[in-house]
Amino acid sequence: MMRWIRRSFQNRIFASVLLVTLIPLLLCNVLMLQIQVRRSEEAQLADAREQLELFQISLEQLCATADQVTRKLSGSTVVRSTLRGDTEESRILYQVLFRETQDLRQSAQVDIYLKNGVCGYTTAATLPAGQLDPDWGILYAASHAQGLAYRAGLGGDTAFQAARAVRSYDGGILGYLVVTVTQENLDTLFRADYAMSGELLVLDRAWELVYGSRPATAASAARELRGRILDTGDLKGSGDYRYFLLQEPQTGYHLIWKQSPVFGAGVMRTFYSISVFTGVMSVVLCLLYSWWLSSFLSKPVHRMDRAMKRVREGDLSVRVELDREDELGRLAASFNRMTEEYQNNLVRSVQRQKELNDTQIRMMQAQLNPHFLYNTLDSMKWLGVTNHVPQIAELATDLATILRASISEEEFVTLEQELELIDRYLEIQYIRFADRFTCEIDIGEEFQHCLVPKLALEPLVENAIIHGVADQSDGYIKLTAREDTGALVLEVRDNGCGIPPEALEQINDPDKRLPGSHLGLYNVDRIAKLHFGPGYGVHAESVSGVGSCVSLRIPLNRKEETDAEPIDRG
Amino acid sequence: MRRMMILVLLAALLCGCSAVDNSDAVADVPAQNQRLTVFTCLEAQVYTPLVREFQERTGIYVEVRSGSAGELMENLEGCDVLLGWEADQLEADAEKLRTLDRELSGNVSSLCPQGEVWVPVSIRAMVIVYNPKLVRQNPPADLESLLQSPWAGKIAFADPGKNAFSRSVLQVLSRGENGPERLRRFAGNLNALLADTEEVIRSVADGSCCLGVVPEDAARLWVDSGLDLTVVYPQSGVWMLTEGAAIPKNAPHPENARAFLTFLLGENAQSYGKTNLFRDSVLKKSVEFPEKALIYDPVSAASDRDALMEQWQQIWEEEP
Repeated sequence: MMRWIRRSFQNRIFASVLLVTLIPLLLCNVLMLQIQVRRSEEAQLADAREQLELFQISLEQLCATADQVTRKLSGSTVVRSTLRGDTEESRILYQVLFRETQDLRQSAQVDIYLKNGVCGYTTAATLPAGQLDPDWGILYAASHAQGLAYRAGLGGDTAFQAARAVRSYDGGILGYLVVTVTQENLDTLFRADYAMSGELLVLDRAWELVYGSRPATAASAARELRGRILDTGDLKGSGDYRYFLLQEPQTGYHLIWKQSPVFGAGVMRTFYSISVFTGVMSVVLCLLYSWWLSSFLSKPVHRMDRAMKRVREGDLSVRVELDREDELGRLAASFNRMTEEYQNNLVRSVQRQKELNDTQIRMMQAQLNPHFLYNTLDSMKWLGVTNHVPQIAELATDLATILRASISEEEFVTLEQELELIDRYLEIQYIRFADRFTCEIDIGEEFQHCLVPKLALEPLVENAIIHGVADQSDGYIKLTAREDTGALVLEVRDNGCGIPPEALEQINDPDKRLPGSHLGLYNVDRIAKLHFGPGYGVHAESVSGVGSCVSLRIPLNRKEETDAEPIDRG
Repeated sequence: MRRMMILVLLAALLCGCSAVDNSDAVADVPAQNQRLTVFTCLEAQVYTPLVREFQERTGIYVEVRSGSAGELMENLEGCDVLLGWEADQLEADAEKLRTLDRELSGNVSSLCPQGEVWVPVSIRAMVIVYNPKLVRQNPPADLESLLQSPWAGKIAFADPGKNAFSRSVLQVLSRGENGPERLRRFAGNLNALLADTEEVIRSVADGSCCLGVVPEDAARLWVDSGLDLTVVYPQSGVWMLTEGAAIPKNAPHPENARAFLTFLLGENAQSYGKTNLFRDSVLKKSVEFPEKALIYDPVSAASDRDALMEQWQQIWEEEP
């Protein structure tokens, strides 16, 4: 992933924008929902605790009243003497009973049991009835308790009972005072405390049902709660309801407030669905937006990147057109100017180089003329001095021809034209060297129309004359032409003394040429190489005492095949 | 730095995602060694006062799982005490039960059958109940009279495949000569096989059937609750069936189970059972059998049980 991000400027922008837009959105989405739910649940918890405290206060007051009443009754002389059997006058006992239970009778029924478990007296509207086993249940609990004992009812209408044993001074049991609280009593007791909707369950210390505000569901709810508590140790359920717990200290009974959650399962599912939906929408929108923004920002960068790549590949004509006025627009404009200037510089450089080359060529060509002119004039001078002959006019004519050719603007002439110049040249040289040599031109008709650099052969012939046969009386020079793999090779052979090895080396390797030596051959070679490339030029071979052969290799271009001056860089 | 930020963000998310504790943890959850699980086939009105009293007196929390004897016996995992089983069934499944020491039943009368792996907790008479609105003349006097043709299709009876008491009735009926024939005649007089004793009583009370054979305690409880039924103690002899309790071999809380059995065999519980649940005491001090009581031997009944059930199944399938 990191490699993908680092690979591209667009990917970096995309990842950054995506993170910046997506994370806050998702955080808000999740946190707002959770905070809302959490706050609501906390508010509900506070309300539930408040509600339970109201119930607890009511139950505590009831128990406290029952405790107080039974304590008073157990200390009552009338009650004690009646239970002892000292008197059977129930009227006075009932007066005491009703007086002492005045505050309690609205919430409970008070009975007086004899020690054998028979109910003797009651505050109920009916006659006292029933019998309880003194060795079981509430009477057993009362006989084994110091104060008030509590027992939950075993179903039916009785919610719970509280009983106190009436003891004689020697500790024996005289009877029992039993306070019976019914379901209806608790309904009335708690009704005033209801501040909100919910269900109240009262469970005893063993988590058995004592009272349920909704009798139809109380038993099953209590069973489920009891099972869950014994299994898991807490009241957390499947989520359909929330349970809040408070324990009443006097009875040890657990007051449980059962309430629907603020947001039911269905509502929460809807919340989560909406949250997921908006989360997914956020992701999609952020992806789209990030991709669009990254593309928009990186597009000009990509264009310039592609343009620079083309520049690296040599295409200097590329331009980046960005219709913007910002930094990227200025960057593109600078790029365009830079490549344009670079392109122009390159063109100028090429042009300069070309002009330089042309100048060099012309300079090289011009170097030929002054040297020949000097020799010709010298020859003319000696001839005129010694013979007073019209050959001087011939010399002048020949010289003029050669001079005209040399100053003409053409760089290339046909071999036929070049051989004519050679002929003029040879005529002059014949006079100078008094026929001490002969020169044969053996060049086929097929080569006559080949293009050669102007005055390229003179230095070769001159070299053959000056350095080859000048000291001989029967010097022989032969000009030939041949074709060699598309190239025209013009050879000048002589039977002279040969070219010394060091001179030969300088002719064949111009880099080793010493200044001033074999300038003519050097110039011809330079001209050939400048026009045609390094595969062409002058090459010399020599055998000492036998003779030499200097050849000029140029591309074979005939004049009728092209109108333009052939430039073959081979 | 980047990683720190990521951690902070994650923590914020987690805090936001955590739910509010929707209820208080319960402080006074009973410890594991203060628990007891009782499997019983007794009705709730019978076992509830016993269980509640035991809880109040000892502080041991009791979980009760009720159902039919056969279903409960198939899987005793987690069970500490079997309560309210017919003794012959406990005898038949003795290999699943723990051997009990004699000290536990030291106060039990010798008249009551006892086993090595179970203790008797009550004695119940086998009685006949009939609907006085439907039976005015010649009411049934004993079990033999149930084989007579006038009662064809009029007797309510719990399925002996599910109800141990019904098996005991078949055991009694199949004694003596012509046992299979007697069973066949009895089967012919049945209206249908019902789920349990309560359904038998209700079907007699609502007139679906004329009479039925039920335990005395069930008959008394329902009559006490207001049903118009007449209870008949067979004149030829009242079979006394022993109801027992046992501790499975793999009971997780054997000490608490022993405490519960000790409680059940205590004077208070036996007295309460006799007075309020119409179950006769098994204690030496308080055992009382009716006249012509016939003590049902669960040991021999257990050994014959499989054969008897196979025979009954065959008879019942042949019954049109």
